[in-house]
Amino acid sequence: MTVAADLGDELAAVFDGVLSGTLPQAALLEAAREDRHPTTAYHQAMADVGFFGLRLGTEDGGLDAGGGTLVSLFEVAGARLLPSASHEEALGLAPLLAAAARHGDHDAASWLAQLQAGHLRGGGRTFTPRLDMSASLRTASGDGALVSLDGVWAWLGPDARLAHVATPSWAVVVDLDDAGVRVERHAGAVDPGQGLCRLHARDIAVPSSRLVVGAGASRLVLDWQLAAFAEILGCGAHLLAATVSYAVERRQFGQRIASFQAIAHRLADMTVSVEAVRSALARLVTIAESGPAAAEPLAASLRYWVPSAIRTVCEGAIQVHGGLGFTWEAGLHLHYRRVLQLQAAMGGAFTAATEVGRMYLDRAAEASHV
Amino acid sequence: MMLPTLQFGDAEHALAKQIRVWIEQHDPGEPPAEYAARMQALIAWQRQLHAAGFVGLSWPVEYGGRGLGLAAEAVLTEELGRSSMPELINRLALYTWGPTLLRFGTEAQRHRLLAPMLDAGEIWCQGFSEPDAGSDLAGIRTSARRDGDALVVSGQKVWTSRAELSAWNALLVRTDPDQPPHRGLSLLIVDMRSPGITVGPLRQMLDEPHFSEVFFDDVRVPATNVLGSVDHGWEVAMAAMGFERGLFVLERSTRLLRRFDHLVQELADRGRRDDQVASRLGVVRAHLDVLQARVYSTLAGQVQGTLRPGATSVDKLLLTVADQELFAAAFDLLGDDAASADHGWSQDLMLSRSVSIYSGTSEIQKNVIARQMLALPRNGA
Repeated sequence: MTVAADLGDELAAVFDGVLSGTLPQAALLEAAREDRHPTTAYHQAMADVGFFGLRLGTEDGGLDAGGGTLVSLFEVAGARLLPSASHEEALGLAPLLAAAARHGDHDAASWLAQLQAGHLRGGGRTFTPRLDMSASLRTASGDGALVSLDGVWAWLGPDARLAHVATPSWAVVVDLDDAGVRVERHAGAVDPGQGLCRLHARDIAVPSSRLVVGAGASRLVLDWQLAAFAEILGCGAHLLAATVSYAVERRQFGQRIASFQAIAHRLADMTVSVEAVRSALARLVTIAESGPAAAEPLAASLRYWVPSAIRTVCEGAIQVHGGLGFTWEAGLHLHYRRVLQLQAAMGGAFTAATEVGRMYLDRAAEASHV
Repeated sequence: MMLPTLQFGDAEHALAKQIRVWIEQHDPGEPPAEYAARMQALIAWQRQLHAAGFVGLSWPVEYGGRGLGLAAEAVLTEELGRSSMPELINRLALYTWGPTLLRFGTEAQRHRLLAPMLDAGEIWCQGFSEPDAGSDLAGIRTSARRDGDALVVSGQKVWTSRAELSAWNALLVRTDPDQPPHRGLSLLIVDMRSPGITVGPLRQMLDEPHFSEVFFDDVRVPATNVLGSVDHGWEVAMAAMGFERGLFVLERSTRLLRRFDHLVQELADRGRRDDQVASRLGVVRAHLDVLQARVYSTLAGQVQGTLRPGATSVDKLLLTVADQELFAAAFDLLGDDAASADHGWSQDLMLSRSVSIYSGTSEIQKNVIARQMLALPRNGA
């Protein structure tokens, strides 16, 4: 039914090969400096290996990847810094278009085919549970719904035609050619070159085929989180490995700096974080099989823990590299930026932790009143 | 790269239910505060659990176990965690030395020693640390010399938990002083009732005689009580420490989850739900969830034989952070109520200082990760 774990590793190796060949660090640095999408052939190459059909069933020409495969692939995406819009296209837009096509939406079917072929770009935004949302939905009388977007932060690929907005209770595809939608390009993102925009719309009509409510929406949100956690892990694991290599090579005071306990212990702390995240994701994948509601308590904890722990890993990597780590050219900041961006997208450390605590406090208060 | 994790199926869910029902009917309540009485209550509790068929779930049937998987042990550990007495008094035997005997022991040793571990008929302790061999375990000086069909042990061990209750001591001694520090060590199974053994209780920070000094004055140990082979005790000791982590850490993490629930309840009862309180609780809960997930990976890795060398040091460090963060948070959030009225919060805060010290300090765990997982060069290289 889903891609077996070993096949997931094989796919991950294929994706790694594609991305390492098409997204060299020099190209990423250039795109970041100019705050534009990388102009290399990575997007077509990813489409060619089926990336945009990752979460689609085989009947839709997809790979039908399970949670474990998702984690393996997005760890690669993090390490290789796959642009954020691709994440949204594969896990948000493509499944929503497939659902629309199943409801006889011919435009959606055509868009999906183009998206999978790499000929149509999109993007979007996925809200994790209990975030303040800048989007709202009114069910219209009759067919479809009215959607308002109040400056929704979203990642869009170049010349994006479509965007999705997914929340734990509803998700929609928005046609960016709709006269009622305004896309405001945003400069100065912490993770530049990812096409960060704000979406504005007031009560635009979305046909029912392009609207998913309930379990389908929360599943999208859970998948997005699995992938985002794995992406963060990929960033951390990549920087940890790079830092270990550097510390073993670099000599000061006539010794390899990795032989100094102050450095070794910092690298050990970084390892604890990376290993713990790996274990946590294995557990989350298992629980996710029972559905989004069952997974939410652990997912909520991980929205605090994963970005916080891996952010510290990135900061350790920069520190151990010394002055070099602080330079533009060394590029450690690229992974750091991605982790910061994703941490912010999950509400930030304080909000994420507060929501976890509140969940347990509310539960205890209810228990007392029974 | 995905790590393995424990899978709980229908059999485990059924077992959990069975244990939960049994515990609800038999939970003896909070153990006595006084140390000696508490120990006796814990012994009686393990005996009762054994009689009900819940101890040794993963051990082979021929040695008194039930031949189930480690997931079953995890179920027991977690269900026990909901009881008033979450700790199995003979856990060192059950989690560490039983599995080590199953790997390294002779048939005679297994038949003699395994069964009484299960019903707490014979408590085990472990003699590794010495006054001059703490973190530097390879510096062990307690020695054993061959004399006919016995080894004669002389020396001193320290920080031996539950020595006064123990029938057996898994004792690491030097049998060949001419070999390099890690070699020439042997692991002896020493009968604590042997002539020449003196146990001197040490009182820890809470004034409890939780551990002891143990003196060995020409103690004769039959040569048949060597575990593994003579001069290869280091391998046995390291394997034992690998076993120790999985279920032991799960037990601790389950207890911490229970204490977290207590803390949340106390705060909720006081109407404390502002952002600062919630956020501090959230941080603690996230640590606990990650710790539990980590132990599930470790247990699954133990089953598959895929555990990387040094990887359980990650578990120990996560346990340490979770424990110390939880009780620091409790003390910080409850204020006077923790310092005076107390539901054990200040004791737990003080006890949490031991977690970063026992079974290898945090600094040693980081050295292990640096050497074994990252292959970093030694100092001066």
